[in-house]
Amino acid sequence: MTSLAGCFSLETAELTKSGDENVLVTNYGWYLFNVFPVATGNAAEDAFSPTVLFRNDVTMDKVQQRAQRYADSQGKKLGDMAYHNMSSVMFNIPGTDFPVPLPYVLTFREIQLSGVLKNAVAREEER
Amino acid sequence: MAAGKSASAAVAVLCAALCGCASINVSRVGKVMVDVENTNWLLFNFIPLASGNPERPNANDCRFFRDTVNLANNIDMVDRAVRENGAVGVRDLVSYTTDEYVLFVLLKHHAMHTSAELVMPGDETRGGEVQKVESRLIREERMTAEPPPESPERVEAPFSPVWRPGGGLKLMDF
Repeated sequence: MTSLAGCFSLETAELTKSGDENVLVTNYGWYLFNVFPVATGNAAEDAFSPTVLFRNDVTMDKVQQRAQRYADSQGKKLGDMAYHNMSSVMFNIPGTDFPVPLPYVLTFREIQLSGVLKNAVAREEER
Repeated sequence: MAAGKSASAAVAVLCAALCGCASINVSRVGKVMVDVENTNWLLFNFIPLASGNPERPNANDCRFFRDTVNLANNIDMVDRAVRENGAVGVRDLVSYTTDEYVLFVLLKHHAMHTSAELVMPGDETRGGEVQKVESRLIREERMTAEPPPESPERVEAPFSPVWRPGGGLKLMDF
C-alpha cells in the first residue's frame, strides 16, 4: 500500500563557483481510470502528511508554486525552467515487469520541474 | 461460449481504451510555462492504432489509424499556446519522448512532450536567448501574406573567373 502512495519532493543543490542553485521539484500520484486521484504527494507548504488521498496535487500550478515560493524565500529569481512529465497508463503486476493488459485502470502520473536560482551578481550581468 | 463472449467484451473495452490524447497545459505561477503532450498507440511498434488530435487539444479527440505524434505537431501546439496567451516567443524549449510496452512490442504507448517558458511582452530584456517559434502554420501564413518580389536578387557566385588585363585568368578574388 505504501508503494501506491504519492510523494512530493523539493531538492536543491548549489554550484560552488557561480553560486547558482539548481532546484528540482517533483510530485507523483496514482489515479483511477486516469481521472480520479487515489493518492498523490502532498504539495502543501506545511504538510502534515507526505501523501494526500483523493486530491490532485500533481499539477503544474502546485509544483511551480512551491518552486516559486522557495525562490522567493531565498530572495533569488527562478529561471531556466523545464518540465519533465511522465504518465503511465499501464499498471504492472506487483513484483513483475508485466502490465495488467487493460490500460487506464490504475494509472501513474509524475511532474518534474527543474529550475535554476541565479544569484544577484549573475542577474545584474544579464541586464 | 461464455469464454468467447467475455473475450470479445474485453477486446471491445480495450479498443475503446486505446485512444490517443493531445493536451496543452499552461501554468501562470510567476512565469508562464507551457507543457504540450501528444500520445498514440502503436501495434508492433509501427502500425498506428490511435493518436491524439493536435488540431483539437484538451478535447479528448482521437484520430484512428493515423500517427500524429511528431515534433512538428508539438511545436504547432506550442505556437498555439504562444498566440492564445499573447506571448512574443519561447525560452528553454525542451522536447522528449516516453514509451510503455505491453507484451514486449505487441502494443506500445508512445508519448511526446514539449516544455517551454512563454516570454510575455516586456520580458524580452531578461538575459538569455528568446527563441521565436515559427511553426509550419505561421510560416505558411507569412508566405501567403507577403507579396512576391518584383525582381529576383542577383546572387553572386563565391568563385567567379576574373579576367585581368595583362594578366592571366584569376579564379578567386577575395
